[in-house]
Amino acid sequence: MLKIEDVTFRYEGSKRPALSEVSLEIDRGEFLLIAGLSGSGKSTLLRLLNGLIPHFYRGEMKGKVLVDGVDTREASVAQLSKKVGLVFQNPDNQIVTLRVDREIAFGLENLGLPRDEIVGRIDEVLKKLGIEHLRKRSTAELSGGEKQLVAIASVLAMKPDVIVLDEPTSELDPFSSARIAKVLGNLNREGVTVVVAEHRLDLFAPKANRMIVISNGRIVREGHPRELLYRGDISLHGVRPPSVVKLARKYGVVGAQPLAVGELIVALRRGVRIDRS
Amino acid sequence: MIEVEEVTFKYEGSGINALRDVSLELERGKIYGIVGPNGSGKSTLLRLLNGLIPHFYRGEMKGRVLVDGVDTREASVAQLSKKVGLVFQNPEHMFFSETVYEEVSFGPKSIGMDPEEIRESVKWALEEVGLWELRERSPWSLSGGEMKRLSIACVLSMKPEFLAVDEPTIGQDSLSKESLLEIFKRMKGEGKGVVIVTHDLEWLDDLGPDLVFVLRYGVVIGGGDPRKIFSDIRNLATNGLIPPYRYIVDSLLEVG
Ligand SMILES: Nc1ncnc2c1ncn2[C@@H]1O[C@H](COP(=O)(O)OP(=O)(O)OP(=O)(O)O)[C@@H](O)[C@H]1O
Ligand SMILES: Nc1ncnc2c1ncn2[C@@H]1O[C@H](COP(=O)(O)OP(=O)(O)O)[C@@H](O)[C@H]1O
Ligand SMILES: [Mg+2]
Ligand SMILES: [Mg+2]
Repeated sequence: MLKIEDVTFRYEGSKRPALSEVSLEIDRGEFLLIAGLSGSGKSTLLRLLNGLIPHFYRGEMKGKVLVDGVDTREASVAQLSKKVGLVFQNPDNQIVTLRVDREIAFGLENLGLPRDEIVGRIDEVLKKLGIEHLRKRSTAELSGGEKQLVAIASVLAMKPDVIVLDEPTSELDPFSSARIAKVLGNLNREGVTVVVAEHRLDLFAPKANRMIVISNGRIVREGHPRELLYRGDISLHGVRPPSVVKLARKYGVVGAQPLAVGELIVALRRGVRIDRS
Repeated sequence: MIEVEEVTFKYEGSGINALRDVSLELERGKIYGIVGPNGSGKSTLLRLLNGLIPHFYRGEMKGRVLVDGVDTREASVAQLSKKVGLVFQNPEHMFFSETVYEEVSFGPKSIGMDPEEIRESVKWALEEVGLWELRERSPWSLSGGEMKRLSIACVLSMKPEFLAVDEPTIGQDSLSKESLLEIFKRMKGEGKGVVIVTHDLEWLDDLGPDLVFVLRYGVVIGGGDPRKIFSDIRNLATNGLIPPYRYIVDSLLEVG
């Protein structure tokens, strides 16, 4: 449903392309995790998916991007955002209104939804993310993490077919991060396509069915997260396995290939029992 | 030394205290970790240390903050910034220069460093955070992680005696996280005081802070040796935190 065909993109004023000859197909119902060093091109790739590139970012683009068969150059960002919702890396760049409930309503009004549907969706998403207490708060006066949750909420409320998130947990505490990972996992199970760029592999690797690693604007690895994280050579591209993988190595339970803490604990319990018998 | 004495602070227009009766002491030559759930008051606490509160944020403040014995209310933010450098959580809206190099030069100039020293200090700071190569770029054209490191360089270049950093790992990959560890450890070695706010407890564990404070609902609910704080898993969990995984694994293996 999303297709990037041999795209090279260079931002205006910069010498090197931020993406080089990137091709990627994302099918309906996938959960794709994107890893890579800071500056490797993750955000640039995500900006292609909803047309922010080339519509809002100036530069030189070769190749094309298709969303459900439509070339993103031929659709407006407004049209595309009904299908592909993007949560920006920095919530400050996304939030446009002065109050939390209005912020969430903003996108819904643009979808032309009736009033009571809008109210219903606001209730639902605030509850889902555990931020009902922020409903009437001024967006300018939120803490960093609170803002990030509101930015995520406003995209989730639009219920796009594809949800794209750029480092969505960078400012979240451990419980909220886990909650976001869980909410995205659930949506994905309901058929929503999820694309996440993250450094927090421990949270998202267990949910993803596919992972890609970007280095210097190119996709350099692709595969199932278990395969990539246990094969180890992705550290060549600056991606370190998460703590769970390190601990699995330390305690010799690599065979079970745990990705989530829960899986690690199960593997360890088994290991411990075997040692003692 | 920075002394925070029984500070209570309420932002103007807000019904609740962002900080309640907070007291702590921060010394040179040590690394402090400040942790707590979203909205618990961590950034507010940092804003106290260099006088942003009460000078720039309106609100109601009780108690006082002393930086080397001087009440922050009696000093200007400019004066305080020589002693206490603060890196903001989301700095990108503060950039105003054409190039990365100019952005980092601004602070040292404004505190009256001499030109030769400025040149050395800016180069050093940009190299520390791995942005020397990008010095001619516009700050706005950087990736999110690069912007965060730029804001760290802006403060490093002023050579403050205390460095307070709000969420240094935002947008950072594993390599830059490691280089940040080195920078902060080195600063401690040079006798500077380093105060770190972070949600990334795995990374904080690697940093090896001397002391960790836990905030919740604006109250310091715990403070002490990181091993003591992190191994009290139950207490952390009831306060909305999850310790570094190795503590969880250790406790499981102990119980058997
Ligand atoms: N400028 C402001 N005006 C009014 N209230 C504010 C302001 N900044 C923060 N607050 C509120 O004060 C409380 C503490 O916020 P603070 O930013 O210190 O939290 P934090 O611990 O840094 O959170 P996070 O982990 O999300 O960054 C929160 O309830 C927040 O909504
Ligand atoms: N708006 C922009 N203008 C010019 N260059 C940019 C812009 N945004 C990012 N870049 C550059 O493009 C490259 C890739 O950046 P980005 O996609 O943001 O990386 P990531 O998200 O992986 O950290 C980097 O060299 C970055 O500095
Ligand atoms: Mg990015
Ligand atoms: Mg904060």
